[in-house]
Amino acid sequence: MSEALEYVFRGTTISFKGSSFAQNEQMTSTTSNPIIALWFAKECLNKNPDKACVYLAKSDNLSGIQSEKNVLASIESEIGYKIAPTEFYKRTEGYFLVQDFQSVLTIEGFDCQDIVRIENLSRLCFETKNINPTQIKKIVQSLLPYLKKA
Amino acid sequence: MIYSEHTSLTLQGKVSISILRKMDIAEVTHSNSRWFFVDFATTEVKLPFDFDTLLLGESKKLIKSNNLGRIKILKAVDQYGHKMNIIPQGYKSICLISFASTIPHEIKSLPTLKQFQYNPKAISLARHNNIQLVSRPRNTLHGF
Repeated sequence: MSEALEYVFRGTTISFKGSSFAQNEQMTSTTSNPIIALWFAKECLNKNPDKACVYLAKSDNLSGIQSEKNVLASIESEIGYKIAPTEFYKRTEGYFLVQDFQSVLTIEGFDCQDIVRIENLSRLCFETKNINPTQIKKIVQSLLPYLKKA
Repeated sequence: MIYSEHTSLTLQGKVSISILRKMDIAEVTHSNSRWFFVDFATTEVKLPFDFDTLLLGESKKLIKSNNLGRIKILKAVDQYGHKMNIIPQGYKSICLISFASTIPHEIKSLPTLKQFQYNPKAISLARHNNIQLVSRPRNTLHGF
């Protein structure tokens, strides 16, 4: 990867193993943008209201795992890691419940109250602005009190 | 009437030849087939899978057609080029789709893209028997 990232995020449900396809291919999708991770987690919220979450990983803890910035999915700021989701979670700092994550982002001044369905996920990702590394660091600092260990 | 659907795949645009080559995907030789960038699947889709109805944009307005025939999802790969026999729910995909007769004008008019892209005028593929008709209040001020 050409761009150094400090953190990556994955919006999903707690301990979700991924689809059988993701397990077979050993692929875990993440994003460098916390708001986009929130959209994915909020999409999960519909079916898993108590388990929707955002995992936080330090890029340093993923070193050695083949990763690829997905140029075909730039609107999601997607980074794919060649690792099964369950193994990925072991390398994360932990996770945040959607409600906590959204509250912190709102306090930090981001508009992220939208209702998310799979049908509007692409539009939300498209409309989400990039967040610079300094802002992300500040968001992560504000989130840390809500971190739950994976 | 408002049209809403259950099982569907939404075509954001045609895949550019440069991307097909980059991903080592064979170009299409049949005039009634094309590769498309397909938005997040609303349900799991086992291939091959047939559709028969086209819906336009986020409002899912029916595209009327006299002779659409079967629209078949022949092949799919994920965004990293891995072949998929099943498109899992919530996955984006790149799909090879064939049309029974010629490719409809609305499909041909989709933009050619080099990546997945939000397209407010995307076209969704659906099955007519999954489409629910939702009634709007009728304006009966002037009767019939």
